[in-house]
Amino acid sequence: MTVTILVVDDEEDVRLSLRMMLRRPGWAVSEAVCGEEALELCRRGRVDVLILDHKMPGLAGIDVARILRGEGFRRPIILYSAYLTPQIEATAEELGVWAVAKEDVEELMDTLHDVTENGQRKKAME
Amino acid sequence: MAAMRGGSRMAEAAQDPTEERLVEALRLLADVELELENERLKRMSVAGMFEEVLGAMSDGLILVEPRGRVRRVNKAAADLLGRTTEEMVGKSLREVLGPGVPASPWQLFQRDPRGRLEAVETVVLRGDGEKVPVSLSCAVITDPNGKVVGAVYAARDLSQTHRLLHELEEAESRWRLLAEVGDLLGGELDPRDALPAVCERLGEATGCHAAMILVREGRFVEDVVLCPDLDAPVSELVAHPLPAGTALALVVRGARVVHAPTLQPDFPFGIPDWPARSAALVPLRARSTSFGALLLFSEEPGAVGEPAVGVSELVAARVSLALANARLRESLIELEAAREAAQSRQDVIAGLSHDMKTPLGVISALIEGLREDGSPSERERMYAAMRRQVQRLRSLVQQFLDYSRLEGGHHLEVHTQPTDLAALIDRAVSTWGRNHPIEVDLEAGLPRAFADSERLEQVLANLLSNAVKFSSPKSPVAIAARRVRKTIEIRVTDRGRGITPADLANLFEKFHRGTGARGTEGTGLGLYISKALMEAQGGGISVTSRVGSGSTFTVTIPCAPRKEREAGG
Repeated sequence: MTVTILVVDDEEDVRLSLRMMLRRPGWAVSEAVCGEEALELCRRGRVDVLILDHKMPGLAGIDVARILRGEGFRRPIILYSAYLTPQIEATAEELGVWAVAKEDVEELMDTLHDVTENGQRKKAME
Repeated sequence: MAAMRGGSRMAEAAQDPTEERLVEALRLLADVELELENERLKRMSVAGMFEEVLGAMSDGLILVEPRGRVRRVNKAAADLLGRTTEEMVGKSLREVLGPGVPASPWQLFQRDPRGRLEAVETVVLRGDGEKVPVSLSCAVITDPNGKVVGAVYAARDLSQTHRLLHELEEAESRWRLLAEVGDLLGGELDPRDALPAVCERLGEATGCHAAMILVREGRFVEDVVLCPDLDAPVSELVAHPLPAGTALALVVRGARVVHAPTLQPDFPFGIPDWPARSAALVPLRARSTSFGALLLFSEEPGAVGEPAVGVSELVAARVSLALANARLRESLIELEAAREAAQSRQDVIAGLSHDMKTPLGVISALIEGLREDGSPSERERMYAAMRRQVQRLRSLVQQFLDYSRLEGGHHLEVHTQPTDLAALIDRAVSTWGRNHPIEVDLEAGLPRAFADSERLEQVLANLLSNAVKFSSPKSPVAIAARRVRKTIEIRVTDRGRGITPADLANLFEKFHRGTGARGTEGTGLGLYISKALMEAQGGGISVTSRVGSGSTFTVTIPCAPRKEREAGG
């Protein structure tokens, strides 16, 4: 079964680099350029894992995560940002969201493997 | 007794009756004499007691005859007037007390119909010529028939009272001076600004000139404060060390008062050609720190006296405390500024390291992506993205270098040459227009600008990235260039939220991040460095903005090198 990963980032090069890196069997990557578009796609129910930038024009990543959790979205969310602060990480923890620093590609891949292949949903609110 | 007397009479009568009468007469005579003697003794002791009372009185008493001659004086009067009783008795009262005193009963009546004066303050002359302030009470004496028999004068010495009053007045005037000095010092943000007025006030209070010589770390400092009415040759001494072996050095280093009521012109003051012939130097010192010296001086020998030195010491203590407090405040402010600068540097480094994460992440992901199979066109897109991110890292490093250079007080180096702006704008737009619509409007026949193309591109990249960052995704950014006299003007306009007037005022300052910049990346250095770069190229940068409708940044670049521009007028 194919896992759909939604990459949300306002920078095209970030979306391109993740799309290229995540070309793996069983994974399908879709993209959104802002938080509002991500909300739309998630509400339509075609997203299994969300990779979410934090600082974007319009809705910030952590706010998108909060809205989705509020609406009952229980799939894994990874906040992938260059601007993580202890406060944001604490909020992410409360919302059951993984926080990964943006230059740490290895950790992003490990987290993705954890939440997809091993089926771990420890942080998802189930 | 009667029995005895009767017995002897009987015995004498038995002798001779005549002889008996004689004895009786003698006895009567003896009784009378005895009584007279008793009466005399009685009178004598009253007079003695009167003398004793007079002698014990602290007020000087003088009894005069009707014509004004001194008849009697007591000891207190002799002491008060510095004359012996013999020198006074028999003299006219005017001679004894000096002029200004009603000197006879007749004159007393002239002054007062009852012939009395009560506690009148006047001055009498002592035998040695010194004047003594006294409180004088006097009254005419008459017998029961109303005939004038003399007058009595009582004088109370007021010198002690006057001395106390004088001391009280002096204390009060010192207190008033100190209160005024306190007000002057407290009225200025920097107490040094109050020192000329303090000197003036101290000069008024002492009748001398007052000046303050401020010293820091053993050297004269710039703000030497002189009395306003003296043009002393001190300004040449600024930054020079205190001359050793001089009174000034002794006072400042040794924290001692030097008082020279009279001094020779060659006195080693420590300040050449100082016009003082009488002076006191009082150290300005508080909390074990020396701030210099207070100088009280006069061109008149002997003019600077003890009381003036005392007052100066009080003023010096008050001034020193204010200077010490000000220095404490200064060092606290310096400490706070240093702390803020360190924090700012830390913020810049933290901000840059955050900004580097995105390009590093993109490059790392692309390296992973290149491992996977892909079409040649996909690979080409990945390499292009890598080049852009490497360029982004490079510009972040450049920003940090520029910041370090400006922090070190240096100018930014630029290499200006004729530059094709159309090509340069094209490159900037192709980078920043990838994710955002940018409208370009270049005037036809635009001449070449005299610029450092890399540095100008850095500035345009900064302006375009800001414009894109603060615009909503679909709202286009505009870039336009046109010739304005001998310069070219490039305007970058967005229709974003605009900049508040408060932010606008210090937009080009270091670390300024507008209130709208929260939630966006950046170190707050971009516009600060852009401004420095444009100025280094002989151009400029400015901004207009309206909240809610957007902002326009205008960059001006000269069309010719500086020399030609200046020659051309």
